[in-house]
Amino acid sequence: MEYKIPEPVLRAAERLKERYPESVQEIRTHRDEVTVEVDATRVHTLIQSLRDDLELPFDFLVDITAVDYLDYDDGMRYGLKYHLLSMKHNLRIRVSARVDDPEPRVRSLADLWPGANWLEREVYDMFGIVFEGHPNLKRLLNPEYIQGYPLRRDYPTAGLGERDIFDQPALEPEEVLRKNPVPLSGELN
Amino acid sequence: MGLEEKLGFSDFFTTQVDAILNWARKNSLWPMPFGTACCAIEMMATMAARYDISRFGSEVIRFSPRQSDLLIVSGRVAMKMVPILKRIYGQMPDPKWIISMGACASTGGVFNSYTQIQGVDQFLPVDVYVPGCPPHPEDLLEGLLAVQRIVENYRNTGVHAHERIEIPKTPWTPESLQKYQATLTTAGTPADKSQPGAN
Amino acid sequence: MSPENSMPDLLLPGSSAVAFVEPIDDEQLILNFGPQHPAMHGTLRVVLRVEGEKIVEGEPDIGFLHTGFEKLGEAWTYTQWIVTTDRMNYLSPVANNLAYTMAVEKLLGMEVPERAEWIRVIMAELSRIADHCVWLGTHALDLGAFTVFLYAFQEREKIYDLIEIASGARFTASYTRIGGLRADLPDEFLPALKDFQDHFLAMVDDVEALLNANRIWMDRTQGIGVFNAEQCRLWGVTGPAARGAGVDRDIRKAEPYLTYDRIDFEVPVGEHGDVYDRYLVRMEELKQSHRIIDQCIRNLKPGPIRHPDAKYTLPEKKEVYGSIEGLIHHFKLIMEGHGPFPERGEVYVANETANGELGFYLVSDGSQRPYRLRCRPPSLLHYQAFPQMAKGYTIGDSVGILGSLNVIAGELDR
Repeated sequence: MEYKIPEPVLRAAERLKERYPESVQEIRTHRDEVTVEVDATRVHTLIQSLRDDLELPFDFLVDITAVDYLDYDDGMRYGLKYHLLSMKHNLRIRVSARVDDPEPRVRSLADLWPGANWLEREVYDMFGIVFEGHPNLKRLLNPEYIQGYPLRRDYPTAGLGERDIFDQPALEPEEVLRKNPVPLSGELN
Repeated sequence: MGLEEKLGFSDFFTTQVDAILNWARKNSLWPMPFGTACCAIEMMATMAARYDISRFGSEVIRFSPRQSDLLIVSGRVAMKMVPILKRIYGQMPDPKWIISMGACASTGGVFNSYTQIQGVDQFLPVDVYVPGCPPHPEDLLEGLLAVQRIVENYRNTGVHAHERIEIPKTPWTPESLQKYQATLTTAGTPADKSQPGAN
Repeated sequence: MSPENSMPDLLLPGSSAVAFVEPIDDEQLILNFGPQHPAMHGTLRVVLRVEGEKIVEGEPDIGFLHTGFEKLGEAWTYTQWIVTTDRMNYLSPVANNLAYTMAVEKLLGMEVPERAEWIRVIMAELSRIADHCVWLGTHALDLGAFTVFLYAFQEREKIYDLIEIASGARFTASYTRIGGLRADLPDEFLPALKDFQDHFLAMVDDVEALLNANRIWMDRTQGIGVFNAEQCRLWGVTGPAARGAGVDRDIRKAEPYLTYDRIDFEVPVGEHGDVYDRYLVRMEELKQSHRIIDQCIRNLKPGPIRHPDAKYTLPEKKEVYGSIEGLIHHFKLIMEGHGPFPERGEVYVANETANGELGFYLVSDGSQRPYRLRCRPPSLLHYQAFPQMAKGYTIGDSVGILGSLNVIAGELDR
């Protein structure tokens, strides 16, 4: 299937690279999407610059998420992905920034878009990436007291066992039946 | 508990009164719908016009645990929801029965993940399990009829429901979780053997 | 009743609601709303700081239905995860199936046959109608109109019958597959669909007659929960909630997918951004979906419903039983690997579902399982903006505002 890469987005990415040549590391295209790989310490500045671009402002924040590249390649461990959209021109761009263990940190976008608040909280909850300047960085979806960061690649899918902790064992079905001898199905009264 | 105690019959073997009272109870089971996910939509469809649940007497669905006697746990139960479910169950007056509707409430369903409780019967005394993902409304009605059969044979002896069957207690407080931290294990990468499709 | 200041101030970015605050003076009360509450649609919780009946501030608490879908996505194959998409926005499941399969198809660079595209559009619009029926029923029920609930659910039962004819399950259908559909439509489907089409608009007219000019409805919804277009942009609100505020953007028109560029339909846009306008937008969307389905029925021609490359999709059953290549391909797909092995890369695909922009972000490492699977749910951003919309209104109004947003916990918590 033919995928056409939109030229204005590429030009916007080139303009960004001209303005910040040492922070923009790579401009990739795949299918019909443009991804700009940037330095994580300048993410806030670059995204603000994309938002305030004169020709093609990317003024809508679609999504903030992260990928744990532990089993993927040998670069820095976490990749933050910011999906932006230009509402007037209906064009999208993705900004990607890599951060590494042991203390992955990046500046928060909550002052540019208030909608980024929960998106970043979820990334913190799932990956442990700290967003500096975030007004309320705590776990969003998981209970406060769980250990570990679930979407990291070394966290097991079935969990660390927190979901199975009950003080007393559940009754076996036979015990339940012995205590309550009732016809459970099929018999008419 | 219930009408028998009020009338002073709780120490006697009262066949006819039991029969009448149980007949009244079973034909007016008021459900407390504890709907979380997709099964809740099927429960709503059971309450709507086509698979009318009110023809079985369950007309009053008022979302108040204090006025209901049948708890229908429909949908997947996450770790964070467990204390709430326990509290709702505790707020219901005796006698009370539980239907565990759907695969997720009965055994965890399709989702063997880090937050899903693999079956509410680990901490609630479930009476009827209705399988399905989601169960057809007619299956839920069959589950309701099964509860009615149980209610028919209910012998009230003045003992609270949670003394009648031992309910395992859940220590779902962050503090009590501390003592189990040492037992938590790491099983490996996401593609571990517990998941379907792992080769 | 309307508050003293008719429109809340544009919230300064960065000053989000503070968690679980103490009351500032004796007149304020902390009220916990949910997660088990009749007006809360599912497992939503919000902690409100109220002064009398007026809401001063709110902080939502979510995660009561968190299932770890994204984590399960890394453990399951691409085809196995289609089952999970049903359970996210469980009011319009086939639309979710569709959005996810389109994302995987973009990752593979695969095109689906035209008949499959038309059927997918029919299913997407039926899901939109089904979603709006539940929204209508529960929203009206919250504000007191019980009859509308029964009418809307009766229509939804008819849609269940249709989806059951096509796929076998009432609503968790998992109807789409990577490369096309699960199976072609049986012969009974089109007559039943035409029958549904003939009777559907009567229900919409009935409900509009009951609610549109109803004094109580108008008092309870007009001027409530006003959220203008700029706030929608800042908070990431899309879909009917944004269109009610005047944002004229629908992905089906702006970035057309499937066959939407060949279909003639309109996108309703409101102007005030209150609950009444969102209600009107969704009612009009019901009628437009009806119109779209009519055009799809006319454009439906016989043809294959799966991508012909048998390396990725199971061949049709008559091939499996009729030719040796079909049998071999079927055997290899089932036994050696389940479904597609995309090349390394990442894609993001967004669909316009009944609630707004549903996006799937997929990263593939060349194996048969996704490396990272992210779902961008519209409900997450809507629920985040909910306290801002409810600020300054009463507790009773907040129920109406929440109903108009159609926040679905399955999608919100994943």
